[in-house]
Amino acid sequence: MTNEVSRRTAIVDGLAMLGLTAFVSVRAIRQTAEASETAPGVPNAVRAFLDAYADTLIPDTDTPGAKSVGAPAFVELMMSHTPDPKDLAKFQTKLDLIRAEFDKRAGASFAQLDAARRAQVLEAFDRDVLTGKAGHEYALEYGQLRSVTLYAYYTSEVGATQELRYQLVPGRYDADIPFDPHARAYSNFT
Amino acid sequence: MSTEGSFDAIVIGSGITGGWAAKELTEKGLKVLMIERGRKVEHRTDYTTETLGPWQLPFRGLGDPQVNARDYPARVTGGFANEWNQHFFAKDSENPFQTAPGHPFTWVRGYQLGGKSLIWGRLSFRWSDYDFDANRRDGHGVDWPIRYRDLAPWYDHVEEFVGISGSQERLPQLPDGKFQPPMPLNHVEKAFKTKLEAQYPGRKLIIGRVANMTVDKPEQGRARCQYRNICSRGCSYGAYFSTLSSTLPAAQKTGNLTVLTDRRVVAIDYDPVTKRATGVRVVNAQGKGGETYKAKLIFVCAAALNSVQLLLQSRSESFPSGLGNTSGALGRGVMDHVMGIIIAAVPGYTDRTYYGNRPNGFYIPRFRNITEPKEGLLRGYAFQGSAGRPNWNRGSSMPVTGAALKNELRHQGGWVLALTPFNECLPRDDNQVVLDENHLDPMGLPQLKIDVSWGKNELALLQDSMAEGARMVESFGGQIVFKTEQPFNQPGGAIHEMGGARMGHDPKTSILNKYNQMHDVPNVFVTDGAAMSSSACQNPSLTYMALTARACDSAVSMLKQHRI
Repeated sequence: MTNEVSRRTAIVDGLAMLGLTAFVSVRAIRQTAEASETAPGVPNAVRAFLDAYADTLIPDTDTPGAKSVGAPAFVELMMSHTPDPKDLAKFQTKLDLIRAEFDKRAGASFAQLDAARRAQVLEAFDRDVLTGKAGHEYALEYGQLRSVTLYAYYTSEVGATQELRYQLVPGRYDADIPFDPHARAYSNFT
Repeated sequence: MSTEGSFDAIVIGSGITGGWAAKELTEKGLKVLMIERGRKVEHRTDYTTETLGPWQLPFRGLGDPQVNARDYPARVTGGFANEWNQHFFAKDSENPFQTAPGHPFTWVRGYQLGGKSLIWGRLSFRWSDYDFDANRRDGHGVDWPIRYRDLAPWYDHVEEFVGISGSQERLPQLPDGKFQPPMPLNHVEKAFKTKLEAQYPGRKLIIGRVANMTVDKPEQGRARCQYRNICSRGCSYGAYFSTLSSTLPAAQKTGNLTVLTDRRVVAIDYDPVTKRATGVRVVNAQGKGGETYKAKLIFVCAAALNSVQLLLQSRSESFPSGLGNTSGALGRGVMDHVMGIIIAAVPGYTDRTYYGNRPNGFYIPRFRNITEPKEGLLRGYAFQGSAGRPNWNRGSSMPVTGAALKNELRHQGGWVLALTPFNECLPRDDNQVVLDENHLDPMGLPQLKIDVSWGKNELALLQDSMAEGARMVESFGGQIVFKTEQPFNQPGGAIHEMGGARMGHDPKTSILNKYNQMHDVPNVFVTDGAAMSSSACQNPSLTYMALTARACDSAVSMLKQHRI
């Protein structure tokens, strides 16, 4: 799974650099299309999980985090626009497994935990699932959930322009300049 | 049915070659009618998504997955459509086509004023006599009836107007041109160039030659590139070449151009007495109408496969299998380029970066069978690529969460290098398009049936190019994280589809002569990708433009001398 996920991300990054950014979108569409599956309006328990998950993956710090900028609503939107109902059903099943695993690791409802405890659960979950140690049966769908949540955050106005910088019109290309480790990245640079 | 008007010339299509034909013919004093099947698009005004951030789009740039599945699957977008640009792609649901069993094809079309010139990749390379002499040398396809010297002045002519940035390199396989100053290579690209050229004396790494300007063209109302790299949304600066930014305004300035949009040419009419085409018949978007427009000259610039389709549709007693098809070559010899992808992480260099989005990458011109021959392989390939430092979208696979993840993604990641070879495709007669009378489109016309597959030589070239690419990247210290094992694109997917109405000396084996003029019908010229007799490995649009300008010059001379 690690290989699979990092491979996919590397492809996306590499294609973006080739100027083939559209391929990125299509890959993302494919991922989200596969990932997005629920009938319009997900059950409350699912919504609570998506909220808690987003809030844990990208929490509020000195800038708002993923839940605060509405990332879960975008995840739901993409789910509700899944082209093939069969894909939707499959994703829902896998999402239920993922939720159950989070709850199991939490020893309670993941969504009910305090932020510190949620962070511990997610960290352990990611360490196992993203590195292929556990969760093979839903690793693909989990990767999709994770990337759509991140995508939703960094393409939100807050994520793109406050958390990172956004410069629609750079006006020039400085081809070879020192890297400033304190400066924030540009969300729209490839 | 009625006759609506009479012109000196009709140009069918408004993309890269239609725009050039309109410009050249009107500037030479001809009254020209340009016919575009799609809607009118106004430069600037209709670039409706140009300045929108992802948060301002309902699907954040991805597009509605349900709409994408129905209207914009990869078979009609090549993977290049997104929420910012998909209104410049023809929809699959409205523009069906057939393929042969087991031979999938990607057919990307841009049905609007400006055609695919709005969304093209903009890389602009000259072809050389390695390319124009290739068919004669190895016996595949028919011999090109022209050589580089015939086209060189026309490359000059179009490059100066288009505005192409690039470097002078004195490479015989990739002739220099009239370039604006080149865009720069970034730090890792320069390091890769140094290493590569030291290790392989027969190879070069250069910046791409691209129709994005580095110097303003005030006389055309166009400004230099702003390094946004969002070209396919449309560019209000006019920094990249498109019909709308460049050739159309020039043609309109002459007062000699009439533009008709939302009209599809369904046939070119032929008079067996004069042995000339007399005009064209058009229908509206609903397939209704049937007006006729007459002209002394017809320029077919509808995009390669569309042009072939129109000629196939233009049947008469004289030409029962399609206009100008006494040779039987019409529809045959369709080509594309076969691609692969290599992506590598490059350790180090993390103290250097760049600013801006350069809409261009580097280019490793062809060395295979030029400086480095290889037994058993015909022709060759070139690489496109770039180096960069990925941003937030690398985060999805990082086993880091919470504030730590946020912190990590506040900065660019390490360097990544991407390479993609473009391999030449041999012209083969069995790669063919025909009309499918059993499948009609929404207008009631036969759909195009496309039967194109990769051949042995291009697959062998792909394998060789992938091995050479991997070696170059690894010698530089790159760690390959992804490498295609199969062709990255199905035929058509490079959107370099070409051939089908090839040029040649012999009317028995080719459709067009050395002036892009139909052997059989001397007042019809086909100057888009359909005319290509071989595919080379370079991006082809610049050559289409040069051929178009040259054909216009020839046609007008012939017209003035009453030879057509």
